[in-house]
Amino acid sequence: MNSKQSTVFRFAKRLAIFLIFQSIVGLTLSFYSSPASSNHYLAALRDKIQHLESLPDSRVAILGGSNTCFGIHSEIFEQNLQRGIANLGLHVSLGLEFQLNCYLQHAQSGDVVMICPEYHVLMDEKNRQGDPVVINQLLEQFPEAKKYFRDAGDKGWKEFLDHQAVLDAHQWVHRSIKMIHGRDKAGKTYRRSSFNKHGDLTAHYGVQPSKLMPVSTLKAPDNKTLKETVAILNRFHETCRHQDISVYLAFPPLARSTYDSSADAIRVTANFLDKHCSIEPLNRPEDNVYQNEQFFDSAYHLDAATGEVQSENLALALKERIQHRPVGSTPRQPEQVASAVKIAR
Amino acid sequence: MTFTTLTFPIFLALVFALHWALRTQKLQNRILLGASYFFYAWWDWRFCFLMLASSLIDFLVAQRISQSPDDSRRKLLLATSILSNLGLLATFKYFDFFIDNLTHISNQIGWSPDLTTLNLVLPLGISFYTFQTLGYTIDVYRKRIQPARKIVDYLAFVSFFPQLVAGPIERAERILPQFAARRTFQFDLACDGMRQILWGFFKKIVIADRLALAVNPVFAEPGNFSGPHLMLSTIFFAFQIYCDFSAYSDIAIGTAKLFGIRLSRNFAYPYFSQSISEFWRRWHISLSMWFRDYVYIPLGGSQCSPARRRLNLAITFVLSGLWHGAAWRFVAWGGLNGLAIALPGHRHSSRTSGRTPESKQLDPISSDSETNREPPKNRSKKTLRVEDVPGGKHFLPRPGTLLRIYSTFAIICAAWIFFRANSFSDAIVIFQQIGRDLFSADAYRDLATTLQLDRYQRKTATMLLMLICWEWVFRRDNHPLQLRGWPTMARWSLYTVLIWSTLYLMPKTGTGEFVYFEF
Repeated sequence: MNSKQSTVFRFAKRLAIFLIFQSIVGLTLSFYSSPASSNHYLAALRDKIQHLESLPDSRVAILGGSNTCFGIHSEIFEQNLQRGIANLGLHVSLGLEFQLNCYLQHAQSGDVVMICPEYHVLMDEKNRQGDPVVINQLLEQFPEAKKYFRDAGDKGWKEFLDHQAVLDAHQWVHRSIKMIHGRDKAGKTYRRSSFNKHGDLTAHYGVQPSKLMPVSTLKAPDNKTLKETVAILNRFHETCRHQDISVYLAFPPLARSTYDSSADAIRVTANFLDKHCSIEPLNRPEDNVYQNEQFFDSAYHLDAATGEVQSENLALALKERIQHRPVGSTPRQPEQVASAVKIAR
Repeated sequence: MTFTTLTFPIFLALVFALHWALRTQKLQNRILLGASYFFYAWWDWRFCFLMLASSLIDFLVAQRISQSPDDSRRKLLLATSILSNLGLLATFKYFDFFIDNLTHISNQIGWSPDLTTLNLVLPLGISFYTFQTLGYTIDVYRKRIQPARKIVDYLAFVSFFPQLVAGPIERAERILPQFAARRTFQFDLACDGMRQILWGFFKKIVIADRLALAVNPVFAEPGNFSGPHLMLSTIFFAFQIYCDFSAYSDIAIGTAKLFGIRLSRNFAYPYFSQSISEFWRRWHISLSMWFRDYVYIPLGGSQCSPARRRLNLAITFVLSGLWHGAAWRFVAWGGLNGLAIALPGHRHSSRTSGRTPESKQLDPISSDSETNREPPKNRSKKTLRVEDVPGGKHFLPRPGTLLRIYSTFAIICAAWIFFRANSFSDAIVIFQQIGRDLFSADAYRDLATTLQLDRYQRKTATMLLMLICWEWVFRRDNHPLQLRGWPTMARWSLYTVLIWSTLYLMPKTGTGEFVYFEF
């Protein structure tokens, strides 16, 4: 062996020892990094999906953002509808497409679906697709959730090497170190353990409401944005119809001050949905406006008592529609369906 | 292929193993050449042909120049090289800019010609490799170097993958002999290369990419932000671009060291400079040197009247701005820097003794013979000249030094506004907002409240401060992770912290492209 080779080998040996040392550090981190035991708020999706899967046939799935976590009392739905309820709502920033895809991956014939999306995801393309930071946070806590995102499917080895591998490594290290710290800066309310078995957030019951987090004033969306939103909703409805699943739309609860400042945008959106969306609405936007004091910490998050009122109203509206007829289709006027199908195409 | 992907370490490990497994320099160069073209083709294989054509033209022209005794023929050949290189740049980088401006001017005078833009994709690294090959031909013409004898050595020099995409812009004089000679593996050099790579990754992923998340939304809609917020974002951008670009150079230089090749130093703690001229000796050194040798000095340099010297400086800096991008804001950025240096009364850095008059203005700190070279193993810190230490020799800076560093930084930041703004008019809006809110207590209070709420930005700012302190402490070294004299245990602990904190602290959206890829 000449001297050149011997120094290369010396270097390779030193590097190998260094890498083994780093692997030991990595293994130690791995010991803590099991996402299944994370108490992060977004990790609750794991439980929600598990609950949905465990329900017997003829389930009711509630889709939306965090407004459904706070404002839906599944027991009230259960009592009224005599069906198993799964509240899949989690975070508005995961986007509308996630909300729908997440359910479709676990859809079953005979289900009833109530979509209650925040106005933000209906009116803005970026919000509809979700915030990449929040999406990555979810994937960090629940890597299997990748399949719920249109763009997060398997893109091949090149994409993995060029992009995903580093991100996966980050998520793994981040999760591990956070779990070693055992901390959750978001407070007691926003944790995985704050949900009940149905997926409703219950940790805030009896807790003094905090100051309302401001929600930006909504600007009236343009026709293109609304058309795209409606096309997504109609496609979802169409898919569900083929699987004999009934779908209904509910407008979310909103604090009075936010509603007043965004009334025009909400009216334009609701009118457009009325005209072009094939999914039957259970309520009107104005039916679900409450005083600011009836909210917990944001203009979408109802307090416990008002959540009960909203749940009662929605459960009754849903009961009225599904009790007398077999599960599968939603009553819409033929001309509305024709218009909706046209838009979806 | 980007450095901050998993693809790169795999590729590097394979090339490293193959390179050192081969016994002859000829085969090693072939491996480096093949690897470099593979590296480039990973982005877009079609542009490999463009790089090959550009390289071959200069190779052939340089051969002919060296063989030709006829001066006018030599000039003609040189003109061919210059025209072909600048023609490439003009087509891919400046054609649309020219057409847009021509259309605008024509419309102003009431004439509407039917001019169409090309909308071509800018080939990655074109500004870097064309300057490198152009410098080679000019050096052969000036008889500073002999043309490369072997085409493989020459092509490997032009396309050498660590510095292909974003520099340093290397001189044939420095690199070609390294490709022509038999290379031996140097353990210490390779270890230092690995350390420099690690430091580069930390700066890029932890500091630059995180700062980008704070900077981008502000510069996207500057009208929505207060003056203090815009000032803070400009400061953040100053460090974002420094950490981004110097990180690329660190990774490139470190990678080259693994193959026994020493690239030029490209950054030497520029923000500790005490004058604009010193800043330009410490920032993007390889480009500054290129412009000094191939533009400033041929224009007359400083061997002429003061007025002419100022004009030469202005032309050089404007061209340097234009090199960065085809937009008026880059011209303004270059012009502002040139103005800051050319203005009478500008304080030039003291380290000019023993240099040619030309070198006093634009000479980067790291010329080929001194600080560029790795310090010999047994050379202690004490033997380094005090003048080489940025920010002065004292551990804590003197008030006067600090004041000069601050004022230089302020001017540099003002120029960065043009560089970063999305358009010239956006830059003007930013200056207006800053001017409006400069003495508004409410605006500063609002900014403080925003920062108080934004934990992510606070964390990033803390890390930035730590980086500045670290660089200050180790500013005598070529890069601040040399850690000479540290015990192995301490070094390994630091590497471990850096590796895992880089993975922990990287932005949730992943790593971004290097800023200088655009140029």
